[in-house]
Amino acid sequence: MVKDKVPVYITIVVGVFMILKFFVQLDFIKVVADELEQWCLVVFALAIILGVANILRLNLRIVLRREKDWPYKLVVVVSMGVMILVGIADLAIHGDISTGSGFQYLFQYILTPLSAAMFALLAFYIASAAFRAFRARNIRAILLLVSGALVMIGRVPIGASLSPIFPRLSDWIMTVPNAAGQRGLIIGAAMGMIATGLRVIFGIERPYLRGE
Amino acid sequence: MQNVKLEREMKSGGLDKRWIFLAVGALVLAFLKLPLHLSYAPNQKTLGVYKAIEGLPSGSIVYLSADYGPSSKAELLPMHRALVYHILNRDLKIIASSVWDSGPPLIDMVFKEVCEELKKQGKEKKYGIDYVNLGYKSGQDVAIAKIGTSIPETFPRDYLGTSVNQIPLMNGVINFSQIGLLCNLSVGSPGARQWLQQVQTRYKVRMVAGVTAVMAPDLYSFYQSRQIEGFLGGLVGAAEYEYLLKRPGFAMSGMNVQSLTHFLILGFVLLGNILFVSEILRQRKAKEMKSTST
Repeated sequence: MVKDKVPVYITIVVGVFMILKFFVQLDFIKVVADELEQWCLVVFALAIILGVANILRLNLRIVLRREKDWPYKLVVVVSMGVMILVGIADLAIHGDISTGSGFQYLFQYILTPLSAAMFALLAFYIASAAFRAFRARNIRAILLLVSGALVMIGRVPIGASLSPIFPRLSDWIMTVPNAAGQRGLIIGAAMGMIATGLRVIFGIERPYLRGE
Repeated sequence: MQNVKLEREMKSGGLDKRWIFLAVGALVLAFLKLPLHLSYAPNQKTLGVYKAIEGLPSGSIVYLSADYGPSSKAELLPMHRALVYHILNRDLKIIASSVWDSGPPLIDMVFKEVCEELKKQGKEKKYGIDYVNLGYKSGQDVAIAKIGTSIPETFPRDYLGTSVNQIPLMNGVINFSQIGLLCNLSVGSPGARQWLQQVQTRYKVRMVAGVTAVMAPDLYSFYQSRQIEGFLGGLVGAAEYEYLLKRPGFAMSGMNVQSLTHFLILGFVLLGNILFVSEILRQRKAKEMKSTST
């Protein structure tokens, strides 16, 4: 019983203070809410350490048991270990991990090109998906197709060179129907977030309790 | 059996996927270095960013939050470089930070490149006086809210480990009352939306943004409500900014490829629809012939 009630009471107190900070101009509320924000940042930082430990635990188990794809898990563990050790060594020897350090070298010349290359593959899949999926099957599909084509032509300089109508049409599509739809989505999502947030704060929903 | 299944998958839609991949790859390789001499007409959103920075008095402080990682560097790094160049060239100051863990090394890299470029033009910029990298703060929305409350409390030390009390640029900087402009570069969450919610709306700070093309549609409503004065959307936004600065870079050369790739993709869409319509007509004809024969 106590194990279930204490987290709920903590959530209520913290949540109420954070809401009151927005609406009540009292020094006491501000001081407590600021302190709670600081504690939250500390908890987030600790969560990173938990994340590293979890990655090690999951991947090392697969490597040691030689389960499926274990060589790739070994690469993950070794890469993580190398980055951590190089970063710690740079901090111990040079005092920082900025330009000129081994950590920055690994980040700039290995991690950055690899990450960028992974995302660059999307261009090929988008081209293939556009060929297979953009079919004028009905009125709505035709509308989507035509507006997508106009925006694609209007947003690049060649489109403006072909005709000044393309950038104008593209801008109209983004400024009028797109902005209208986005506003509806933002307002709807915000209302949903308020409702869910209040339910969590006042303990009606308890996603942080296992099995609730 | 596996080969038959693979072949069927690759040829879905009537055209082997590999031809599409080959066409895109060949186009990118062919036009990456060939100049097309495209003409640019920067739109109002790009001009908004440019005018926001141009209009700042000399010595003003710009808070730059680079909330992106290496995976989106193709779109955001060129605009990051262009913005930092513009700000430092106008003798404004930059306080940079990130709420993405991979942000600070990118911030560091851009500062180094831009300062070397400015040094060749006879403008020496000093760390701690003209610009500072405060590093990464975990906590997503909470970190952004905390930054809005107090910058030195959120970042007691900079990326190099120096106490902010010892950094001349941070003297007197407590919160966004001392900041002339907030500039956010982002690719997702936490990003521009969170900075709008937690800082711009609460403290009424002037704000501009640079986002990927996928995120740009989100910002139109905030631009129309004047919560942001302008934004750069994707590589084309970066290219337009380089054009305004008269400083051609990766973005302008990348637009050669992107422009033609858009038309290539439209060509594939057209081809796909032609094949789709001809398949429908063929099936109708086959049905008619079958019903006639019975």
